[in-house]
Amino acid sequence: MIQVENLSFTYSGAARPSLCDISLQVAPGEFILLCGPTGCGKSTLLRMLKPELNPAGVRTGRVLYKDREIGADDRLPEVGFVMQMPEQQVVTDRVWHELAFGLENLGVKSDVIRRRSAEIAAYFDLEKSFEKDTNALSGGEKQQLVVASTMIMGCKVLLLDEPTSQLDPIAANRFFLWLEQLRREFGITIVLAEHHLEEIFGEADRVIFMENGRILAQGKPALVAQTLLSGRNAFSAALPTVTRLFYEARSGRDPFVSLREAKAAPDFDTLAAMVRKAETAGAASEVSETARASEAAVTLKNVSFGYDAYSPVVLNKLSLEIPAGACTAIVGGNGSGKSTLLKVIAGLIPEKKCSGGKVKFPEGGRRISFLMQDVTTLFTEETVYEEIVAGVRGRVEAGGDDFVERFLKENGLSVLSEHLKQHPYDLSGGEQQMLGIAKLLLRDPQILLLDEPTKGMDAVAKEQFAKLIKKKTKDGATVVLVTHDLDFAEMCADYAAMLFRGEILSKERADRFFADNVFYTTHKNRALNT
Amino acid sequence: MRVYLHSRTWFIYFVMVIVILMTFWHPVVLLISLESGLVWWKILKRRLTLGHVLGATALLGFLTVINPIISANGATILFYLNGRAYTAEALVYGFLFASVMVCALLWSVILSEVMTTDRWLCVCGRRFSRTGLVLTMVFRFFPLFSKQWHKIREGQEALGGTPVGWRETFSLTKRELLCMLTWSLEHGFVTADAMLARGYGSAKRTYFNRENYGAASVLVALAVIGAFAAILTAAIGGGMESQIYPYVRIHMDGAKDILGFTAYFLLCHLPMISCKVLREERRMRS
Repeated sequence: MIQVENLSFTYSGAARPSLCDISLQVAPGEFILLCGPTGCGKSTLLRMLKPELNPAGVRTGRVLYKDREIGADDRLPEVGFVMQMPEQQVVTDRVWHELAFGLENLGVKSDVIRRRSAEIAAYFDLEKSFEKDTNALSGGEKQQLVVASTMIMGCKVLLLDEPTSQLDPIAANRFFLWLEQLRREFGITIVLAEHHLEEIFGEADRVIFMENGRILAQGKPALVAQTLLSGRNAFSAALPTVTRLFYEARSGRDPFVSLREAKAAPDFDTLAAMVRKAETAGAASEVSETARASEAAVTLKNVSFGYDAYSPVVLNKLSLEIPAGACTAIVGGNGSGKSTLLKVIAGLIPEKKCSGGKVKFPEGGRRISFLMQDVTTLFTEETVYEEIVAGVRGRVEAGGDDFVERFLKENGLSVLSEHLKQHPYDLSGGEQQMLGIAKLLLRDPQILLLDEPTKGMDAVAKEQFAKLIKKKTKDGATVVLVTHDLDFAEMCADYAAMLFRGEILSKERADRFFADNVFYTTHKNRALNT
Repeated sequence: MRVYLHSRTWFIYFVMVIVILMTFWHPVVLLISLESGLVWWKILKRRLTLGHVLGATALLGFLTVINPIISANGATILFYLNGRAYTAEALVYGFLFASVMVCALLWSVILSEVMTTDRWLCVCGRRFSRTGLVLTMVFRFFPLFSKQWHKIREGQEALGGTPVGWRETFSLTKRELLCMLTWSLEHGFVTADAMLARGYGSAKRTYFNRENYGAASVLVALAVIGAFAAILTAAIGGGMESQIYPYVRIHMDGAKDILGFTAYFLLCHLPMISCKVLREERRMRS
């Protein structure tokens, strides 16, 4: 279907090539997973396969579609392209119009569009939302709409560039399931660039691993996993939990690529017992010292809140104590009130609006910094350096010339030091989050509120970030973390609380919390609970 | 009963109501406009708050009192203000002008509720397919923009430390604006790519027209045009006339007045037969 021959590409103005001598073949109906660390060239490679989106620069080598060479002037409506941002990819204001948009562009007549959009709405279960405003859809729904409105153009190949990076893990899984269905029922060829490999890795026909613009490994998922793990590549942290967990126990051979495969193995129970033993020996699940010694950093009592008299109650007589000097993870489904809870703690929703509820802080312990979901909303400056310095210039100047660099290094954020002169929007998703954190930390908060901080972060960045949170709580800061990412919560939280329909249902030590939960738990616990 | 009306019928309807409202400054026309406007308000399930009533009253009061200061026309002088005559007729003129304004505002809300983007697109879509596209993108972008701005505000506040004094507030607002600008550009690039990816610019665009003329649409359109013609006939024949300067006088002309006002009343109320469909549409949108 698609052939890439010795393709190299350098962006205009760039010193190094982004793609080096890539050769690759994609068969019809194949599902290819393209993975690699941020900046490895996977997005560039995808864009080279869609002539309309070919970036400007110098290229050598050829790209063929159905044995015909394609260049920047070609138009290929058969090849669909889906990007990261669900919000920005939706062009029109109504769902039906979004579906029709592509066909209008191709000059298709109204009655054909009418039939086609009805057909696709029925198949993709969009009938109910057909008349909706696109602004009324959730991120996951928007992303599905973008795929549906790409499919309506009769597309045979779907290129997806990290389509779930802005979705929560639940919406992301739903999206993948749905993609899988599309492939099964229509034989669509899929090339997916992704760094969330947990659910999708084992489903791919072929995995291609890229680093520094080159293909380093490709083949069946197990083979690539083997290569990454045996080579101790840093990216192996992104492999599915089950793959990493059982690798040693299987003496470094034939890694499992999915939970299903692992559980089907005849010696699974023995292996699981071995892994469990190793895990408990290595785990230091001690709650940090300060947390046990001191009292609550925030106490909420009977807090109720609804956005207005006509909408349902978001928080319902919620009472919660947040221990000082520890990280408390608040988990729960969409719309359970997690973000609202953080807004109440931060004072963005004033206490008097909480129906008589009380939010108490100990004497002089009210210095709060809150990292909201969309970190780009914090960026008001031209460069990363200015961004870090903004608002705390006095402190930075008093700290001497290399204050910023020292500060970044001390906090494990040195990845930002290389980008100080760049625009904040030019950073990757994970780096942007890091920049947000840096801004927060420079204000020296006693309480740090983090709302979905791992959105867009790859596995390596997540590990670094978890370490940073641990360090901060050790130094005495209190962290409240709201997240869907349970694996991340387990990495850094001392306590975990479950929010369900506006109430806190349970709050206990994080390790017990995840070990006791059967469904709502980490991938590790899912793999080890037999 | 579900009566579906074509967008063009709606368009004709609103043009005619607004033209008549703005040209005939007649108390009866104003009363009919106000009454039908309020019925529409109820049909569209909008809440009439104390704020609306107070706002309208304030506007009425302000324009009524201010007009005699600007205009010294009229024969009945009430008193002199800084040597200029303050007349009763000018007061009445101010009141009528303010009433027209209030009715126009009321109707503009109804217009924006009923004439949704897709209706506008249908009215001007086929011939101006690109303009239509720009229009729908603008309609999508505005709510996004204000949502984003709100988020930026909140994000800055959440960072800790609200600005102190006007200087800091000003500098923060300036930076927020810049931030919005960057965000808009960034947003625009992605949207442009998404459009290209879905074949924008590869052929001559068509416009997806979802609407068909039904019998009801044609009949209502004809009835609306008929009513408009009847009002014009009545007006040309000397009916529905009122005069303010130099004296306030409402000409009474039995048959022609009755014809004109009945026609306007019917004109305003007729499309309400489609209220069920409108309500369904509203529900489905959100």
